[in-house]
Amino acid sequence: MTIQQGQVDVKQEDNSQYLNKASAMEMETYDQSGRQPVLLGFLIAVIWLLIGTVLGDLSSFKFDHPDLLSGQAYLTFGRIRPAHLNAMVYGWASTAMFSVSLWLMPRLCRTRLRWGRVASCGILVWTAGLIVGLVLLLQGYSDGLEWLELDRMWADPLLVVGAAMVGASVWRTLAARNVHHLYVSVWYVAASYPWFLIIFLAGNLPFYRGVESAAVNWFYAHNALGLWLTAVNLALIYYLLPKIIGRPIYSYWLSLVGFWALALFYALNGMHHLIGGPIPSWMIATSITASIMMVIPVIAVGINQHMTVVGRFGAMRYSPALTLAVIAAMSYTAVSLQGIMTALVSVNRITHFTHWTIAHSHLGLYMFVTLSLFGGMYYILPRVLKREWPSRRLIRLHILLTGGGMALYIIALGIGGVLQGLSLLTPGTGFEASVASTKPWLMLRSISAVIISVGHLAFIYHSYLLAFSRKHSTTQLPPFIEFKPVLVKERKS
Amino acid sequence: MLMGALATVIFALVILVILPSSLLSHVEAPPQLKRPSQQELLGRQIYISNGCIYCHTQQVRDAEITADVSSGLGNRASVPADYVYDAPNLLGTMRTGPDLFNVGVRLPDSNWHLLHLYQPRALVPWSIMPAFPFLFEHKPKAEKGDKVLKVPAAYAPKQGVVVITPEAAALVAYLTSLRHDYPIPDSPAFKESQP
Amino acid sequence: MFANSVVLITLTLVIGLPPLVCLFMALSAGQLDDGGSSAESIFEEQELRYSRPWETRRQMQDRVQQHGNLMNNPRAEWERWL
Repeated sequence: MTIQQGQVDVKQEDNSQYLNKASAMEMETYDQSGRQPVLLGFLIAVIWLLIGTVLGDLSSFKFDHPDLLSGQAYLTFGRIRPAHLNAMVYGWASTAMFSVSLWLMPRLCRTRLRWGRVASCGILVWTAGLIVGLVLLLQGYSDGLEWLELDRMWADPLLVVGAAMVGASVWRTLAARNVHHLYVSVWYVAASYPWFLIIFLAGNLPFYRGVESAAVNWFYAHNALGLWLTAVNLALIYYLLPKIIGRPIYSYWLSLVGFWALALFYALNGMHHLIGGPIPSWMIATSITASIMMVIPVIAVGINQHMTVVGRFGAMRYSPALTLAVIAAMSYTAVSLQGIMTALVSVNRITHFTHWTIAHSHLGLYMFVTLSLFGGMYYILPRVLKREWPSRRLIRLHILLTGGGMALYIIALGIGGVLQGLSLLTPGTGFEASVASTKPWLMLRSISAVIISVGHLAFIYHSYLLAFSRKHSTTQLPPFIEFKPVLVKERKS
Repeated sequence: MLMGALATVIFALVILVILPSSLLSHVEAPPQLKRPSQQELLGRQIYISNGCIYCHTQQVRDAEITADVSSGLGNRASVPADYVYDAPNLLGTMRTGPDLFNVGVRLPDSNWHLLHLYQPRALVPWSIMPAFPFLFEHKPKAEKGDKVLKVPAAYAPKQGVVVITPEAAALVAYLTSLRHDYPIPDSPAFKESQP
Repeated sequence: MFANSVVLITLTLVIGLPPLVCLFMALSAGQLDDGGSSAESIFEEQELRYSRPWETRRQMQDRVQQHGNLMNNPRAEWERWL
């Protein structure tokens, strides 16, 4: 084997050097090895975030003004709403998650990123597939299944190839690793790519009919959350929390229990979206049982992350990345427990088919996934670009607006959903009552959507400043330093 | 490694053995369920491409845990056999609008549906359903063979007429075809879905 | 077609079985043995010795005991932000 000059992972001897901890310079080499795909992914993700926000706002406003922009077919609610979901899930979250995994793997495997070009091409292919799919969706070509609307002829093959290419880079890096023990984040990231490919392919096969089609639909949609979106973001949180706090994860063993329980038991969950529906009762019973069993990994993850941070919440004043990671970790516990609760028949009979579901999915996809990815970007981008975020005020604005706006969103729609559900359960009131009971809450949702959008604009502008302007940070204070410490006593120096 | 492979085989065997073959039964279409016509299938496609599924379900849930039957969505809960001709499924997850599983029974009038699609608030003032004017054509004058929709003055265009397109007609044909009021067929496969 | 979906059972197995195999492989390869060092493997050398401004006196004493005397982070990370 020839050794190139300047290459960090020298292989001619044994790898005893990797038994020691990495030097800061070594880490920097790993960060730079993935610079191209990581930055490309984040750039594309931010653009999708903007597009998805506009689509989401428009969908929300259409509830308050049903005649808003209804003249053109491509602007009708039934096309804008799935476009919002797909732009956010496959555009924003997934593309940012590509970058996160391509940044995490070299650091955790202690080797430079392999096949980085393949990963970059994969991200571009993925994006091309998504553009094709979304344009077709707005034109009215939909596969008709929630979360799987993108055209199975023209869009899905590109998405599969793109994800496989990024996955190939991740796995090639894993194969070239210089560590023996895999950190828990590696398990999550490495497993998530084959998982995603299997479920996405299986979900898109064209030969399901009738209720089987519904069953496969929810098998996919639920596992896309659990085995793809959750997996990569938990990996990120498992890295960021200990790293920033400066102490190892509370119980490494517990984190592995969380991972393996997810891996072994998650697949059965999806059918609880069809409770009461025309599905054999044994399937739904299995699914409810599996959902309740998810308490084990959720509590394992929750306790572990809480015990890592506990007593040190003051660190959140110093680090926006930590602030976001902590909120995201708490939201993961919250959304999972809420999901388990919603899978119980006594709750489900009220909340099924209502806006409660939308509130729940935003707690998961926004408060957990999106905030975790924002946190990741706050941490990763300065290290890859070797520049500091220029403005503390923009960071503060962004986090307060998006966090606060989404809290309002979830509370408003949660209340609206329960009222709607109770009204639907009362025979004889007529359908009008259920519509009337949600209207004020939908209005409140639109207001929070505007707040969140302003937060996104602040973030996108800030990312632009970081990447392209020559202005650099002049202040030397963290963004939340002026906030009174709530959970810890201030240190007297 | 060996242990892993062994465990896999054992697990797979157990699953396959404890799954009696009688469980893997087939669902047949009930005799009263009509195979959808070409026009209804086109209408179903319009239903999909305009995302009706995001606000309307097509399922009646178990009467014991919900008010679906008592509030008149159907005379019984839906069963797998009701959906044999559906690909993809349109069960739906939201009831921002009412369930449509039996909309053909509740509202059999095509003209009502056409006007409701053109402007829901012309018929249901409190509705938050979007209007679908793009499923209709505005013409200065009706030509030969055009079907004209009668629209109340408040919602009609200032000039000309509103002509029903084949798409709108197909969608309405699909909607009015949604009738599942026949009794549940009496076979073990159907009973199994009952709790 | 339905009542019991072969497709769904197959899918669940396809998703559920490989992790089981992996779990056994990981166990036999000793991946799950040394949790402590795995948990510390993400830190750079000296990183655990950096003094962190949010820590209480007690937490700092713990840090000194476990990792040696405190140092300032050369990249001044806590004064800026992460």
